[in-house]
Amino acid sequence: MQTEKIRDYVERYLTAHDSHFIEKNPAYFTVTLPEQVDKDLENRPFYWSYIERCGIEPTSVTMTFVFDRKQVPDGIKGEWVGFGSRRLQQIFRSAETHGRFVRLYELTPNGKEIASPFSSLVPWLCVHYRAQCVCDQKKDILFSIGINLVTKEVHSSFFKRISHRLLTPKLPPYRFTMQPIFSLRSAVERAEQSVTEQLAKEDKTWAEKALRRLEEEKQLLQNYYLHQSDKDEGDSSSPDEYRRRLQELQWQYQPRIDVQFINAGLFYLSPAPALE
Amino acid sequence: MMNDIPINFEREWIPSLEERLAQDGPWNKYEFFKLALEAAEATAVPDFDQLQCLHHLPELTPFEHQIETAKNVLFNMHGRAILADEVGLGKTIEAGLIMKEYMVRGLAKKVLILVPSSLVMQWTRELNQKFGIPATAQKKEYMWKQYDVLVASIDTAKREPHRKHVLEQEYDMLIIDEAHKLKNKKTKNYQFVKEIKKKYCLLLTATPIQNNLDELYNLITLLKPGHLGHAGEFQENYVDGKRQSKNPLQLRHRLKKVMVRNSRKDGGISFTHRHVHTVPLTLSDDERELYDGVTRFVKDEYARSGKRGQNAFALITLQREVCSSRDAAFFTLANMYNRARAESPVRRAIEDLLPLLKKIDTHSKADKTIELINQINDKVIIFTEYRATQEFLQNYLAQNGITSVLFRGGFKRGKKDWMIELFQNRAQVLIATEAGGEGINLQFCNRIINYDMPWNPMRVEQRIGRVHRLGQTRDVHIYNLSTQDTIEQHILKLLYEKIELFEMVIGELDTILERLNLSKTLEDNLVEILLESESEREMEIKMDNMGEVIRSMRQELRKEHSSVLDPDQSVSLQ
Repeated sequence: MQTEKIRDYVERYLTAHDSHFIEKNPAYFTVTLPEQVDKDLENRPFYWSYIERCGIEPTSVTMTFVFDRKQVPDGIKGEWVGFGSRRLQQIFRSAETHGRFVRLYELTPNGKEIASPFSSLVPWLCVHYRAQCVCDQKKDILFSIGINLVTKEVHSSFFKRISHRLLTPKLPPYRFTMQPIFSLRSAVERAEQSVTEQLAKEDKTWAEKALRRLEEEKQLLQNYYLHQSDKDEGDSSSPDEYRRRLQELQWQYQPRIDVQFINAGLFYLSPAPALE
Repeated sequence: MMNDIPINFEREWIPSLEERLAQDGPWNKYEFFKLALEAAEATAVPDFDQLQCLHHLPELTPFEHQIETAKNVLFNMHGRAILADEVGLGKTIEAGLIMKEYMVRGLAKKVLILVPSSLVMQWTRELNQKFGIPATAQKKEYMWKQYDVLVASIDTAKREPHRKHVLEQEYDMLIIDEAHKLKNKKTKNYQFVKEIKKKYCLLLTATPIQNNLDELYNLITLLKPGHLGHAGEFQENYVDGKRQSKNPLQLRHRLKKVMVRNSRKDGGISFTHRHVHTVPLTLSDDERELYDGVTRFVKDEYARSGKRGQNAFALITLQREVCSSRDAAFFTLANMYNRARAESPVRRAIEDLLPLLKKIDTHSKADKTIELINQINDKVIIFTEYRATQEFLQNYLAQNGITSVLFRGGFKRGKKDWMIELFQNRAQVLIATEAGGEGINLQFCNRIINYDMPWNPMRVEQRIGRVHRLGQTRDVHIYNLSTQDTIEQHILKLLYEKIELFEMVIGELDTILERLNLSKTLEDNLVEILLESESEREMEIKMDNMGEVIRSMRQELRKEHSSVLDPDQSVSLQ
């Protein structure tokens, strides 16, 4: 992430929390942290439990975040926020916990109301996954899956296709929603199936190589422990040790894919034009 | 067969979503949904084999060989390796890069770093400052379980109750510094490390072979049992005599898969030259009289005290101090006087020395130093062994218009940093009583004056190592003050001409001394030679012998190393 993008990201994060900005500058800004942000970023749970138990008005923290250290005017002291900084990691984590589940309705722009039955909004389940391909190495693949809850139609790269639409958390007036036919559970099943299919098309050399390494290492290990038992006086724990080393090898090399949930949403969208 | 890569879906979120649907909320803001997605995109690892950690470390500019080493360990050795760079090439940086990469990729969370206790704070600090890794120094028993990244002393960890806790954990990564201490598989340390459950493992040592090839075999067995075959196969295939390798080519080939060794001579790692200057100086008549007086006192006292070790050391110190400064000698004499019983002959002997001390109004060594500093006309570090000398010098330099700051081992970290900053920005001279430990960054200076010489050659090396290291851009100049016709001159001759200390590769001496397996330290041997010798001539011969032993050991070592560890050098060494 570039400096500018990081600044933009943090500003959006703080704005979404209704933070009060005291000073804004391209290279830095000074901001008063609202309660929720303070709890997520300031790491002072004891303070907050004390405040809440005693019913005291909390003192809010004001922070200066610096993004471009070269452009910061003299006299401005603040905490650097950059890619890899602990602060940005915290902000990412905080954003993830506050952005897990949404329900949104499409708003037709410019008051163009379409007063026909076709204007009913169609429910879609959108799920974001992070597939972690893991052996002794690792790679992530992100998935954005959309499942039509009426037709069970599936779209990948779903969010990219719809993110330009105007969405609002409240059902706009004069709009109706179609009732979902499929349950959440069956939609999720379909989404998982789609991810599995896409993963099957991915290059699997990484896993093949890892399995080969695992085999080779197992051979070496076997050879070693087979001859070791009678030779080494001090080692009475050989069988245990052998088992432990085998487990470690498995742990290190065994290829597997862990699919993590990022977030999900229920999107009520206009049926037409179809998802291009 | 590949279709059986197990795929596990996280599903804990489904009930939460169902609940929200049933209860009509609460729902998150759309903006956060987008921010969460963008965070996932920004932190996703796009490929298996490109280094990610450098994007996360904008503050750090590693050297090329360090980056290459990290890649090699990550992508070819799969995270189990011996990092065996020569001292001063930054093994810590390499280990930090590897660790950071695994953490960024989410492959390591629980990490244990076992180091000698003197290095615990330094490692903790470096990981936090240079790598943004939240490492904690282990202090309490509960910490083993609670903290993800712990730096601990291996001697603490292997003892109960800590041992039990450590063995209960599953470590994604285990790093062991100074791993040559694990060369003997019968030791507690070795058994302990073997039992720790670990996925990735790095062993750091500058000297993977100190005495024999078995040591290397043991280290590798800790990482990858069987990599060099079982013990019998190893003996049969590779060992020819205690320290000779039978199939060096094949052995090197196998070693390359588990060990990285960068040496200073490799391309790309550029060290500047080192120039050593001996600066002779002659005592004034009064100073000479004092020196001779003290020498006599030392011999007499040694004879009188029945040649007991403890006293001998103090006496020799006195003689060395008188070469350093009058103040240093005075301080020790005063202490001896106070400790002696009234009416004891020691007191009388010291009283006899007093007029000699009082008479002195010249400071030949300090004068020479000022001359030298003025001539250098740049930043200089002066090392002395004695605090009294240090304080005297600061005053004396000030009287001569030279600004200086003091540096001592006992200073707290903050004060050390502050002193260095003052030296860098305000003062011309830093007067130090010790090398200051790792992490003290003095590369902006390239001149050292050894005002007096430690007798422990390791400490000489540490002094030089402060400035002559990676990152030093200029040639380094070392000035050794040598007071003519004193023990100082003898010691310097031994260290410099006979042992060729100043031309040694850092770390080499350590290995030589270990291999020599002296029953006493080098320092004690020197004390003994000086006190026991009946004549000047006898002393010189004994010192020559000692130098000769070290020289030949060094030659032997270089030959062995080139055969096993440093393949590229074997040709040039012929």
